Amino acid sequence: MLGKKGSGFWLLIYSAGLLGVLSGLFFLSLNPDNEFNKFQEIFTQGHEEVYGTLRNAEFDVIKSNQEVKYHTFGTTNEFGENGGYAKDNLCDKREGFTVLDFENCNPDLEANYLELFKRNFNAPAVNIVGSSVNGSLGALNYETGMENIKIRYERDNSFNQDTFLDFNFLSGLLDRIKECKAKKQNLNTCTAVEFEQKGEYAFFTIENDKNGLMILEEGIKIKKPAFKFAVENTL
Amino acid sequence: MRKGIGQYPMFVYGLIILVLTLILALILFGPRLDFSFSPEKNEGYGSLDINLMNYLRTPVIIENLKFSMMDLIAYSFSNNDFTLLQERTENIFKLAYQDECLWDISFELEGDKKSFSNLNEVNFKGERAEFDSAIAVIPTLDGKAINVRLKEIC
Repeated sequence: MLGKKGSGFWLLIYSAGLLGVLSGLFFLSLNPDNEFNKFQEIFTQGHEEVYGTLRNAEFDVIKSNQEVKYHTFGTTNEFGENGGYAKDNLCDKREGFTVLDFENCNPDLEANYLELFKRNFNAPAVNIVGSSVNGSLGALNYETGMENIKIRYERDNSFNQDTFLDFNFLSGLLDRIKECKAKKQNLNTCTAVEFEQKGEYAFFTIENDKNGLMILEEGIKIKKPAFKFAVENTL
Repeated sequence: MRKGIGQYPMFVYGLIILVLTLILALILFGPRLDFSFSPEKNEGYGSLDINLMNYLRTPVIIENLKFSMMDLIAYSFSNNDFTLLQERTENIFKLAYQDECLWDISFELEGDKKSFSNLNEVNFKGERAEFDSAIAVIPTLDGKAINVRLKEIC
């Protein structure tokens, strides 16, 4: 380069030109009305708003699911303690257990659970799948407005909460007991489920040993989910 | 003067201007070249939020039965006994941060505030002086709201 004629001149021109161009770019970058600066600012704001909205939605769903869980705790407790009915049911009672006679007191477990669950709880679509209660509390809507970007986000606030009750097993057990009684068989050998015999009644308590319920009863109480009922057993 | 000798001062001036231009450009544009479009600190949805979510959903055994940390928080406020909550919280964050971060978590229900941290246990050597924080609201059994705030410096 040094050996070429005029190379010093062209390097001077190039350097001066580069200084001019870069100076111009620098002053452009200081101008807030510059399109690139505007785009960068809008894009960054949009990015923050999107992630902020997703974050808020996720935490709202966690809170909502926790509320559903506490409602389920209450429902499972009342349902289980009263042989598949509400606590104000009209069935006969023995030692605090609801007596199932399979005529007037013959609970449809899933239907009764759903009815109890929906009481004092505004969930438009609820159903039972396996041992869980599924449903939706509608949609969570988020809208953030900025000068140049509007973000609308809708998230389905659905839930899938374990009831801690095995409806299939419990329905099967009730059917077996009903059959045993119809055939006048001994419940001990007929059901293969342990119960406590007191007087003329068999008292059943089917417990879930893994998961717990947290209930407000004169303060907070922790207990096992249990399905309790009594049936007349004179054999 | 021999033909071409006059080129040398121009070359030297040009070289000096070029070097100065590049240094100036580096100084002026250097800090502005970070076009990452990443959200500002605390504004987005970051790993701290995920840490807080994972913490809240962590399973915990209370009286031999399975619950989550959210249940334990509500349970602790109802019983006004935070021993188990503190123990479980310290175990979880010790496992998550492994003494590489400072963390502080606080729980507030109607002005009643409890907080746990490892501030006195870890000799932190990080550079950042400010805490990042993530906040969640969780319900109690009677419908009140507990504010949970997790702060960390890593």
